[in-house]
Amino acid sequence: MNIKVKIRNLNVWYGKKHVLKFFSLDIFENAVTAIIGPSGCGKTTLLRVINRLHETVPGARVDGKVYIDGINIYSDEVNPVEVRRRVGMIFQYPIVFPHLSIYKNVAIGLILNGYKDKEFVRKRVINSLKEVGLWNEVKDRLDDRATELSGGQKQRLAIARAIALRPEILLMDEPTSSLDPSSTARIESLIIRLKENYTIVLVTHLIQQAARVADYIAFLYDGRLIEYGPADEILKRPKKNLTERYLVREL
Amino acid sequence: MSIKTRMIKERVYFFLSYVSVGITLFILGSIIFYTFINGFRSWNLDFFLLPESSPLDPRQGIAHAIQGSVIVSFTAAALATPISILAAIYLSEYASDKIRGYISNILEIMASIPSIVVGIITYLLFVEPLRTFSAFAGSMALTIMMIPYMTRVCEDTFLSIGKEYREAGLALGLHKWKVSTYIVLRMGMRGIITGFALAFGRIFGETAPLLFTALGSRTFFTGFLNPVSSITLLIYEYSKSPFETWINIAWGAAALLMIIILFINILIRFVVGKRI
Repeated sequence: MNIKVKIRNLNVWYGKKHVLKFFSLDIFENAVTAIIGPSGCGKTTLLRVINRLHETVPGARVDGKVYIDGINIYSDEVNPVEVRRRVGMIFQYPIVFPHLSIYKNVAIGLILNGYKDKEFVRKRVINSLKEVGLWNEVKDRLDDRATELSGGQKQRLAIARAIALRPEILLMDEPTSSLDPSSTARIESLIIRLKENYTIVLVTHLIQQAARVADYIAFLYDGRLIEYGPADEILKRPKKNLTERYLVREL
Repeated sequence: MSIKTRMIKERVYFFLSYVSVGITLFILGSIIFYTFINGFRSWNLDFFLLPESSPLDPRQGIAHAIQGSVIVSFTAAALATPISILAAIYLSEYASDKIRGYISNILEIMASIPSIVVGIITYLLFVEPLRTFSAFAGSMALTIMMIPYMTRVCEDTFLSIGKEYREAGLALGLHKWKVSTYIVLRMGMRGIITGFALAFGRIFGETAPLLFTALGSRTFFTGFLNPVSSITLLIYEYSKSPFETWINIAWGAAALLMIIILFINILIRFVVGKRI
């Protein structure tokens, strides 16, 4: 399988706090890579480094290299805005823009990124809503406010908004942590479907979720990559003592 | 302390708070009542359609003052609104915490400058150099009054919008200015409208900043570089006059001013009360 994202010797600081330490990782194309580890181990930071969103936080500092398709996104020629167009992100809480309709919530990325052809935008929005399995639920009320949707629907709407831009990578930061079990199940099956077209990096604190959807698992502890490999191996035959202790919930 | 004394204390406490509410409502009620009773008597078609005439002429009105107030206030609003919104966007989206702290303090001080002092400053800045009292100088005085108020309300609104919305926008590959304009600003629209209405309601009822700037006039608006009347200036002038006609008109103007301000306040409640 192709390597989509290659992280080499990455260090991240927030102020004086050293969050990621000498971190290297290869993320494979069209696979789901789950990032697991205890709270505060740097999972979310790792995601936010891949789309350069961490640098919007004052005091954040990065050293090291992150390659997407062989290009270092931290080199001077690369514009973070361009990176974020290619790397979509889903947040812990479903984010819908309360001032926009359901339709506009999906279209906003396209419209503000300069897609002027209305018919094109419309098709993209519809396709994206179909892709996340939301089309049948919202097709008759596209002009309603998006705040009226349920939590699970909002999260699928947020995913539709991200994939409307046809990114290559989707970063998901505990996307089901605020959802009920049935919405969680829908999102999980969606994640498995989406990997056909996207490279997915999923931060989760649920080991079972990683077991259900991930092809690869990276275990982080205190800002370091402890163990990384195919999901089955990590879950069934962890090589490191720390990983095993985390899996049996000793950490 | 026995139960009896406690009950007596409780009763006294309730009695005093009811009395206080009563006094407040009585004062407010009598101001409104007295103004309206005296004011409505002079309301008729002439009152709204005609400008000033000789104090002996029964057919005259405050149309010139209404026109002046509208022109001066709306000019000030048109200048202050974009400046305030952009300043608030700068403060909430771009400024460091330190700079935001400094500027917020300056705005606080600006907002607490007595309005008569704003009038004097505007006089020195815009009346003396141009050698004329003018609608322009009046507008500038009100602009100076309006900016700190509106900027603060807008800034508070923008700061109350969670950073997750900004991040969601940035994560779509949007430039920061687009996130500020199309997400933060749009989400804060209700706050902007509230800030506008609060500030506008305030400047519309101002007299002091206009005394040395717009000066007042007996005729309709004749250009931005000429003096102009306003409802408040007219009330000020007429209430000092010895003529009963003018004193009655001043009451009528006061009633109109109060209704306009009340209307703006009700409008704010309507806008703020409406859910997203």
